[in-house]
Parts: sequence; C-alpha cells; structure tokens
Amino acid sequence: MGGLILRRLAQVVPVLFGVSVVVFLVINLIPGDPARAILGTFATPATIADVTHQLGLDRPLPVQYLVWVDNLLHGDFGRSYILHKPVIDEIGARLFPTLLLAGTALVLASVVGVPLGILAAVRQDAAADRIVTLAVLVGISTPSFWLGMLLILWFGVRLAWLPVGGMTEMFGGGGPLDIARHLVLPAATLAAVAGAVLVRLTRGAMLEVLRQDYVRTARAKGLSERRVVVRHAFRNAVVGIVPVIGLQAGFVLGGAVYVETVFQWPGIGRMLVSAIGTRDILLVQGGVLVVACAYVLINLLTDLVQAVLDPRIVAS
Amino acid sequence: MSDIVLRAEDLVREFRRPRRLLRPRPPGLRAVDGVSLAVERGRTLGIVGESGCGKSTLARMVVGLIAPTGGALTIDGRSIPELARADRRALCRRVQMVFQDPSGSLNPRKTVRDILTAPLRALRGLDGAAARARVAELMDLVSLRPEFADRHPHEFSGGQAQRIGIARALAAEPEVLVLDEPVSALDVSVQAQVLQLLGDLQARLGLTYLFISHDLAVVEAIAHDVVVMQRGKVVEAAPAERIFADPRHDYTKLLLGSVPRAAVP
Amino acid sequence: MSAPAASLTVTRSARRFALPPALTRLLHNRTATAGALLLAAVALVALLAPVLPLQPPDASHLALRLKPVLTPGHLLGTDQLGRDILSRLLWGTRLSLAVGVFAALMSSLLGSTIGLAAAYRGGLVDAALMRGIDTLMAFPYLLLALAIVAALGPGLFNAMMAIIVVNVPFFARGVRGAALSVVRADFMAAARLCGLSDLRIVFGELLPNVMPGIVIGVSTTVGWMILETAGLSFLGLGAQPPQADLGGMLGEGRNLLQVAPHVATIPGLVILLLAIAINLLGDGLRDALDPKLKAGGTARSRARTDAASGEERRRGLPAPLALARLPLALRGLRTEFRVGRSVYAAVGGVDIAVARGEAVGIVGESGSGKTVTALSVLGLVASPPGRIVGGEILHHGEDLAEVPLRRLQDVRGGRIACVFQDPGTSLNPLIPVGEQVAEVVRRHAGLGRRAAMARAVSLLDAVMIPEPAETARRYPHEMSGGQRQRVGIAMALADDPEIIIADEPTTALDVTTQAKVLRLLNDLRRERGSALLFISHDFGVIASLCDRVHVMYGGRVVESGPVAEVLRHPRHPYTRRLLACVPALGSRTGRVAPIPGLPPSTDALPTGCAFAPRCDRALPACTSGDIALRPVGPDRHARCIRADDE
Repeated sequence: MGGLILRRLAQVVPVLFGVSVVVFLVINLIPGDPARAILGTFATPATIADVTHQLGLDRPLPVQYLVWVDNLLHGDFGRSYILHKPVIDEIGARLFPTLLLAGTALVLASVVGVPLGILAAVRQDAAADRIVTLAVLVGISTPSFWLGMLLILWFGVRLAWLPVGGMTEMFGGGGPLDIARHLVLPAATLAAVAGAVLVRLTRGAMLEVLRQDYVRTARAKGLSERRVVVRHAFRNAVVGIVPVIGLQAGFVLGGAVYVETVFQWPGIGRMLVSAIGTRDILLVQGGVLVVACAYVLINLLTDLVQAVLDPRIVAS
Repeated sequence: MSDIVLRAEDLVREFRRPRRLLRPRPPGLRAVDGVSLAVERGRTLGIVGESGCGKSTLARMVVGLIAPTGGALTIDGRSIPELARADRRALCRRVQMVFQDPSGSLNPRKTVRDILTAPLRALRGLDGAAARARVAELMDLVSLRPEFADRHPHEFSGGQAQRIGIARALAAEPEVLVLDEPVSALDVSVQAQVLQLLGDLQARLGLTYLFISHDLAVVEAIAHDVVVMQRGKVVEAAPAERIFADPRHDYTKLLLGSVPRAAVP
Repeated sequence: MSAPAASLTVTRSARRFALPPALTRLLHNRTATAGALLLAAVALVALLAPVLPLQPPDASHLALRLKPVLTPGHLLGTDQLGRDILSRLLWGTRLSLAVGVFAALMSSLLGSTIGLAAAYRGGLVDAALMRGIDTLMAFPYLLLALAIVAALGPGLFNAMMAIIVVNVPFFARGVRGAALSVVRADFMAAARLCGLSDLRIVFGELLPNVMPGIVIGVSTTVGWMILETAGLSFLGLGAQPPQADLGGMLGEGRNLLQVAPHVATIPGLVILLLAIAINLLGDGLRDALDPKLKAGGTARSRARTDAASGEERRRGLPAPLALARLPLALRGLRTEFRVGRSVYAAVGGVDIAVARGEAVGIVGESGSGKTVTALSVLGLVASPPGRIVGGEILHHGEDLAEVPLRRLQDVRGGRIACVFQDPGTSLNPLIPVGEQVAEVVRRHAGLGRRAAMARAVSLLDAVMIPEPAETARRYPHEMSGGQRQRVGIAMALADDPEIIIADEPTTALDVTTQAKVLRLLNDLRRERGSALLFISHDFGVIASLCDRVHVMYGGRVVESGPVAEVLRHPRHPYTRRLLACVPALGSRTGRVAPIPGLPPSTDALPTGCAFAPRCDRALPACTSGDIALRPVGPDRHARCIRADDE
C-alpha cells in the first residue's frame, strides 16, 4: 500500500508539470503583445515595458517558464492590474467558497445518485427504473444555468423561501446558518446534473456486475438477495463508481462557473468570468492553475480510495 | 538427407517486465528459452505443452509477428526475422497461420469473399475474375458451399469459421502452416471434421504443419513428430509413435498420465 | 458455456431483413424514434428559419420592449430591445445546432485520429500521445475552455474552438480503448499475415470495427456540446451581440428574470428539448450499435429462474413413481430461452435421477442443453430470457421450481451445491477466499464469524491448499487457476451437501491440474457421501468419475446407462459416432471419423430425432414423429428406433 501511494504520488508530478506548461502557454496564445493584453488599451509604453520585464516576456520561452514556476513556488502569482492586488490574495479569498459549493454538490449528487442508480439496476425495466431513467434523461439535458434561474424564480421570488444571491462576503455576516441558507439553491442546481450522470453510471456499473459469474455463485451459495446485491454486486460496482465520482468533481468544479454566476456566489468561477471580461490574464491563469491542481489532488484521492477497495490494483 | 523446411536454433524470446519505482528492472521473462527444432517438408511437427509453456510465442515468431530476441529461425534457409523486416510479403508467401479462436480471427465486418481476396491480391497479385475463381476454389478446398462467400463471419458456426481461417491461410499458397490450437475451441464432432480436413489438405498439397496444442490425443492423431515444451524449453522431442508409447522425460509421463481416458478395455 | 444465453443469440434471422440489423434495432426502439422525430422537427424549423414569415431577428423596436408571450405579431413576446423572441429563437437554434454538430464532428475527428494512432502504433507514440491527453484531462473540463477563451478572446468561433479542444481527450481515450481491444484480436494479426499495408489495416480492418463506438460518441456528445457552447455564450464569452445563440439569449434574459421571465425561460426550454431529443437518439444508437447488447446483454439478473405454474408444467407428465425419495429427480424438464421472436428449447424434456451417493454424468457438445439443465436445478438460469416451462425438479419430492425463494435459498449451497466452470470469474475478486468459503458456513450452519472462518480454513485444508490459514486471507487474483477451483470445491463442500452439481469444473484448467482437481473432487465427495451431477463435454473425464451417464443432443437425453457399458456398447448412433470422433490416446491406429453436418439449433429442431439429418442409419420413420427414450437393456435407455439393430 505504501508503495502504491508513492507510485501514485510519483505519477502526479508529471501531470502537474503538464498542467503548469499548458497554463503557462495560455498567455503565449494571446495574439499580439501579452503585456499590452494584460494592461489593456490604456497602457502607456512605460508600463508595458515594465510588465514585459517583470514577466520576463523579453526572455526565451523556457527561461520565462522557469522564472514563472519559481515565482509560483514562492507564492507569487503576479499582480492583477485591474484589482490592484496580488493574484494570490484574490484567489485565496475565493477558493473556499468554490470548494464548499462544489463539495456540497458532489456529496449531494453521490448521496442521491448512487442509491437511485442501484435501485434502477436491481429493478431493471420495472416502473421505478423507468421513472429514474426518465429523470436522468431530463437531468443530463438540463442546462444548469437555466435550472438555476428557474429555482431562483420559484423558491426565491415566487415562494421567497430562500435567498437568491447576494452572498458577497463569505465570512462577513450571518454565520454558518446564513451560509447554509445561501448554499441550498446553488448546490442543488449543481448537484442535479452531476447526480443524473452518477445515477446513469451507477446503474450501468450495477447491471454489468449483476451479470458476472460471481453473482451467480453468490446466489448458488444460498445467500439472500439483499446480501447478493449489497455485498457481492455493489462492492464490485463501487470500484467502477469511485473514479466516476472523481471525474464528476471536475464537472462540478467547471459547472460552478455557471452556478456562481447565476447565484452571484463569491467563488473562483465568477472571478474567472469577470477576469476574462476585463482581460485580467494573470488572474485567469492563477485561478485555472489553482483549481486544476485541486482537481489533480481529488483524482489522486479517488485513485487511492479505489486501490483500498480493489486489491487487484495494489498487485499490478 | 532429409529436407528441412523450418529450423530453429537456440531460439529465445524474452519479454521485458515493467520497471518498478526506485527498483532495478526485474530480469526479463523468457517465454521461449533456447528452443531448437527442425521440421521436415511435408510432415507435421506437434508441439505440446500447458498454458504458459511458450508454444504460442513460438508460433508467432515462426510467422514473423514477434521478433526473437536470440537464436536463429530459418525457413528454406532464409532468416525469418530478417524476411519479416525486409520483405514481409515474401515471408507471408512461405508461412501462414491458423488461429485458435475461429471467430476472433475473422473480421466481423467483412464478408468471407473480402477476407479471402485480401491475401490473393496482396500476396498473389490476383484481381477481378481470377480472384473470384480462386476464392471459389479455396472454398471448395475446405468444403464450404460457394454461396457462403458473401456472408459475414457471425453467420457461421465455429467449425465453419475455422474452415474459412484455413482457406485464408491457404490463399497465400504457403509451404508451412502454423496451426495454433486450431481445434481447441471446437466441439469434438466438429474438431474431428477439421482434423480430417487438415489431414486431407496435407496429403493433397504436400503442406508442412507446425501443429500446436495442449491436447495430447489430438497431437497424437495428427503429428509425425512431437516436441514437448515446459516453461519455454523443449523437454522431449521424438517421433510420435515413440513418445506416446515410451515417454522418457518425467514431465511427458506426467502429461500422459493426466489425460482422462474414455477407452475401455 | 458460462453464459448460455450468449451462445443462443446468434442472429440466424438477421439475413431475412433487407435492412442492416443495427438500423432495424434502432427503428424498433421507440424512445430513439421519438428522439429522432423531435430532433428532426426542431432541425427542420431551424433550417427553414430564413424562408419562414418571421420578423428580422435583430430588428429592435424600443416601443415594443418586453411584450409578454402571445402578444399579437409576437407569438413569444419581445425582449429588452423589442426584438421578436420567436424569430431570435429559431435563428438561435439554427446557430446552436450547427455549432454543436460541427464541434462534435471536429473533436471526434481529432480525438479518433489520436486514439487510433496511439492504439495501433503502441509503444512510445502511445505513451507520448496519452501523456498529452492525460494532461488535458487533468483540467476540470470547463476551466480549460475558459482559459482558452481567455487567451483567444470572447466570440462564438473561439468558444467553439475551446469546446472542440477540451472534448478531444474524451474521444481519444474512448477510441484508443476500443481500438486496443481490436488491435489485439487475431484478425489483425491475420491481416498482417495477408501482407496488407499498415494504412490498409488501419482503415480496412481497425476503423470499421471502432466506427460504431465513434458514432455513439458523436451522437451522445452533440447534446453536451450544445449545452457547453450555450453555457459559454450565457457567460458572455461565446456569441457576441447582436448575434445570439440560445445561450446568449438566456444570458441577456438573466437580468430581466424578475421583470420578464419569459425572455430567459423560453430559450432554456428549447435547449432542454434539443438536448433531450439528441440524448434519446444517442441512447437509441448506442443500444443499437453496442456489441455488448447484442451478445446476451438482454439477460436479466434475478433471484431465480422464472417458472410456469405447477399445473402447466405438470401437464402430460406421468404420475410420479418412486422418485419421491431421491435427492434429485428431474421429470420432463423443459427450459426455454425467448430471444426476440425466436424460442430456443434449450432443454426439451429431460429426465434424470440422482440417487444418494451416486455420480451421474451428463455429456454433450455445446448447445446440447447440458449446462442449462444443470443451472435449472437451482433456478440459476438468467430470466428473462430463460424460463422453466415444463416438468418438475424434485428434491425429496419437493418441486424446487415452485418452493418459496427462502426455501430455495436454504437448498442452494446447503443440500445442493454447485461448482462452476471458470474459477477465474466465479469467485468474487474483492473478497478474500476464506471469507467466501466462510460465508456459506455462516449461512447454512449458522456459525458465528470466527467459528465459520475456522471451518473455512479446515475446508481449505481439506482441498489440499497449502498453508490454509494464510491462504484464506488471499484474494482470488493471487492464486492459480487450479487453486481457485479448489476454493470453489471447498465452497461447495462447506455444508456437506447431498448433491454437488459440477458444470465443467476443469475445462479451464491445464491437463495436469485437471487430473489433480478431479481426483480431489472425487475423493472428497466419496468421503462425505455426496452425490455428484457432473457436466462435461469430455467422455474421458466422465468415465473417470461417474457411475452413470446421460448423453444429450439437441436439448434432450438420447442415451443413458452405466458409463462403462455406454462406452463399450453405445446404443444410440450419436453416442457411437461421437465416441469415434474422440482421438483416443495411445491408439495410433486410425484416423478420427467425424460426423458430417452440424448440431441443430434449438430454435428450429427437426421433427422426430434431432440427429436424423446427420445419421447414416436414419429411416423415414425417424423424422415422422416424436421418438421416446425407451429401455434397451438393464438400466439402459436410448432414444432411437433402431437401437436394437446390430
């Protein structure tokens, strides 16, 4: 097991390297002079020269990259020329709300989606299965930004049960309960689509596993259906579901961009959208890099969980 | 002076094992470990062994699908690995293969005609009417009805599919046919049909067979000479009559003693 | 024969249709047809947008701002600039659809090329390409798209490029996976041996087999692409005003949500409909093209095999004689598979009795019904398609086909235990083998966890597994095939069953291992006084184990009797000729004598004797009516009217 963790950690290094290269290259994709793009149209030649030098844009690409990585490792993500503060500060303030939103949505999606998937598989072709399958179809076809608006319209405006946004300061006002009230609608919106995907994949994994010879063996041993489904089938299906949950983490983190925009949630997603609007390239770069790293770590975690569940992985 | 078509001398195939983190690479796995054998023209050499003994790796080296990592392997005195590299088609005209899984060795998306025409065109330069005529001949050779030519593999039973596999191998007009467990996926009644067909073809076309199987009874029924392999090495080689009547190596004896027998005195 | 249904679904009927089977299946799928119709309707309206009598989509009338739905002249009302929503909707749908389809095609083209190259070339090319793909996949999907749009600048074209790039990895991964399994297939090796060039192999052999996967990929991705590009437009990063796709309209409507909800909700509804239509069609395509569904994928997993009512099953059966006391007596057992319009009579009226401590063999070729007979006993045939339609399965006079499930579960693994064919797949890969054995003990002997494990260890010891206490903690993948089958036997012996049903338990094993496992199974069951019902295709194996044998052909027993006598003096022509097919070791006397023709498919059995078409002694009477299994000597039966001829 220890060897496996080491091996997985060693595999993360090249992935992180690749991620950093891609994020770094994004700035070089910008047509024309990146410094001018960063500073906007009103920049003076002097500030442009200043930024060019600061970012090392006048040096060869590999050197630029090394300087950039070196700065990153010292916690220096550059300065936002729009917000007039270090990128790292802005990201620091917005990372937690995004992780809270995405995490809540993912837990919600798993808690609802996985059992529904099992139910649909065990009752294949029965009414329950058909209803779940229909719900899944609607779920995966729904644009989350539209669903968010409908929820605002219904629960926020019509029924006025829940706040519809205005969560500007995470730790400013009402405490945990207030945060929770603000969290309900966006998390539900985000969880709806992720949950639908999870139902579908859980159902598929269960159907596949239920067809296996060892399920027949379990029945031949005289075990109860409950035990056959839970201990023999579901345990094996989980091995396939865990990486899917990891993958869903990526979709939830991405989907958070829409949901944060609709509900004005003070997270990285909304920050990115406005940063793109203001051409605040360094802020975009930093935000994407941090979220991507978080995602890589989540996948590392699901990999390890999978290895704990499946002894065959440790062996190979 | 006997006429040796196929010869292996001290043949080795090593597979590299994956390197593990912070540890030296483990020694390679020798699937075939110093095998020497010779096959006379027009005869059948049976290769017997259990799973993992290296017999399939040996078969794939003989047809040039895998390159040996050591030793010499020649057909008509020419090096097989070299031919495989420099002039694959020349090699394919000399030696062909029939695979174990009859349906897996036929592309499910092609008709029998497509499957048989491919080697005719690429290896024998036949096209159009000539190819059509030759396909009909080949189908007849393996006792398949000519109207089957326009069907897809999934419409055939295992035995019929294996006949198609044999016809495809014969399309190249090879001297040597490598048969890699050609009947083990078949039911006994069908297995007998295919064995009989293989016997007839050898008599009619003067083919040389390298017949690989885990089933001693089948090998005894078809082979002139037998090689017993264990863990990549040849443990015993002898004419079939001798090896089955008087096995000398302990492993050969164990194999023979393990076969459940239906014959009653 | 691990999946009896799989071998039965060979579509013999496929040729009767003029349409390709995949298309036929698609048309039979009602949901897919509904999706296709819905999509076609939306696409048609969108395509006709330029010729329909619509207001210009970008013409603003500030006087007519935010008119509600059903305003005269503006069926769906107007937006904040007084533009006609219906018109903008149709033009927007046109745009979204075009972008979605184009993006899906482009990323599938790029991704498939990468996937095919990686799979076919392998080695370093594969490693390099996949490392790149892994890097792209390390980003949360949408974030990478945002980064690309951030660099290229907002706009519909750039948004589309971003969506294409971020979807390439999914196609590359999927196609590589599918292609790898094809690359390893023997027909690829055969293509190389046919002297074909790499290019011809890739495009002629590999691509056609991967194509269904790519089509499924595209069809299931289009909906997703439409959602994602709509999303980027919604954020203001895609289509720029005044041009609007569906997402852009939603984005513009967002600020008016409380004043004029219809401006945002209507485009959202259209996106939803479009996505539903595409997903329905995509799912239908997947079901129609997925080879997994073709081969036995219709099999369901239920607690027991369906059975017709007792009354129905007993119709025409003679009154039970002395069978009541036997541990197992099958009387006229008939098990069918219904696949599409075909009915396969896999077991067509089988009578087999097993006495206490007796070893009974069933021998036959594939499709003879031997495995289905064995699985029917404990209701382990997958239902649907399987169903017990006739006969009784008597266990001490109790019909197992109709006892309550709870009772059946008491018998399973308790009085009657099974050993299956493939020890590699019949053990649960995630549970240590000791626990898998102990589970039976706990279930049937009612022992506690610790006592059950101790008993499991002694069972492992009994099946000659070295260091049983140690091995009990190991997983199946850590053991050899022979060891695993020993575990399977230990599991079957756990509650000292009256009968062990063994379905080709050694077919997957090497011959030397087979000999050891067979000896073990035989010794242990004799020691414990268990009877044995042993299924095999191998007369040799049956001869070394069994007292009596039943020979099956076409779903019925054609001959039965003591093994030695059946072998020495077979009375049914099939038995005789089957024996002549088996090359006998040590008798290098003559050639094997094959039986011409093929065994019948059980969905189209001939009248009378199923073997008659292949039989050299057949008479007209053989095919004119049902032929009974009749006594032909002491304890001998044969289903042949010429059994007495010499």
